[in-house]
Amino acid sequence: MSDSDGQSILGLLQHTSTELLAFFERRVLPREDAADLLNETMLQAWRREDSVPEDHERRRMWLFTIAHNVLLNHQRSSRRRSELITKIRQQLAVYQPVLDGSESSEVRDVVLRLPKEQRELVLLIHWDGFTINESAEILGVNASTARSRYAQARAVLRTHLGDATPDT
Amino acid sequence: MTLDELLDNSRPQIAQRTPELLDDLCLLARETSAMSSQPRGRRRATIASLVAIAVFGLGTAAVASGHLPFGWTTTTGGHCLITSASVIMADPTTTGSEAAFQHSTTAQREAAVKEANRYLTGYEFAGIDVPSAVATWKRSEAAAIAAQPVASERQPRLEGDELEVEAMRYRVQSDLKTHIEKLGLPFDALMPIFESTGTVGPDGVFRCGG
Repeated sequence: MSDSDGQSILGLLQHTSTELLAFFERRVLPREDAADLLNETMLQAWRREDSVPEDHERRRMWLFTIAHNVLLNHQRSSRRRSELITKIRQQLAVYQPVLDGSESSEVRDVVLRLPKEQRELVLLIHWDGFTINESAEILGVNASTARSRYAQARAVLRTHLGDATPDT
Repeated sequence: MTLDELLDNSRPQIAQRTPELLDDLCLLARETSAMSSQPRGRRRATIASLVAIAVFGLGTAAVASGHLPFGWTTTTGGHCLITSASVIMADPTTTGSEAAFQHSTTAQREAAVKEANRYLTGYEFAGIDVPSAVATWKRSEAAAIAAQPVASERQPRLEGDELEVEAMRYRVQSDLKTHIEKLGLPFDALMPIFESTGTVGPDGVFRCGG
């Protein structure tokens, strides 16, 4: 697949944009900041075009690794907003999410109190649908470390969520 | 409801994907192309398989030490390379470090970071007996697995190159812990970071370079 005209990475970004936006929407407040982070992720992807993997699934992982690093740098970054970003921010603000049940909120609270290295693994697996190995790659840890952390996180969650979580 | 279902359902709602928003996202992908300084039309000469830097611990501020990089040939024939070993201050909200922060002063923690990095800079990686380090790691791993109550969720035992890299990291970290605690400094306030080269293949298995 040729990247010579930029079409390849453009297709990747367009195809993955809504997933990337959701990745940020679930993690930042105010939610509209997700638009800025998506913008930064796309910019970095273009700048690293020479390192995009050939394999389709590897390309998606490559993009989410960039997104994760953008998220880590979020608080340090300064942003300039284009008109388009401002428009996307407005759309994220207008479409208020439907309030979900108290049980989901309670579970979310417990998840968000996990140590951050466990928390982010749980979020990638259960909110974003990645496997443990894929999550390890995005977080920059080896797979065994991720498996160990995930097992620890589940043990903590079972303790806190108690009877609602029978073994399966 | 199972734990998996509870966790899946805890996913926060996202904004509605309207046609207008989807159009704007596609437009953004094009706009960022123009905004980036990367010239189009430059294609990489080769694409190697993705070489990952396996980072053990969190953070990215690793500093190359005096005796690094250190490489060795594993029993499976891989050539493993530890490229850096350093220490940063742990996040006080991380489990395991909260007590260390409560029972130490800022000056003690800063001294621990400084001393740990000094120690790692002079650490003789070549002096590590790899089979001995592997045996030590296996004992630690077995104890950790035995303490995990749910059989189906127990961590798998490490094998191959991943086992040796982890065993080396564990040996260095254990030596560092002994040294720091002997000085009366708070080891648990530290976040050691070890980096090694290797590849996580499509099968999810970590391998050092060939």
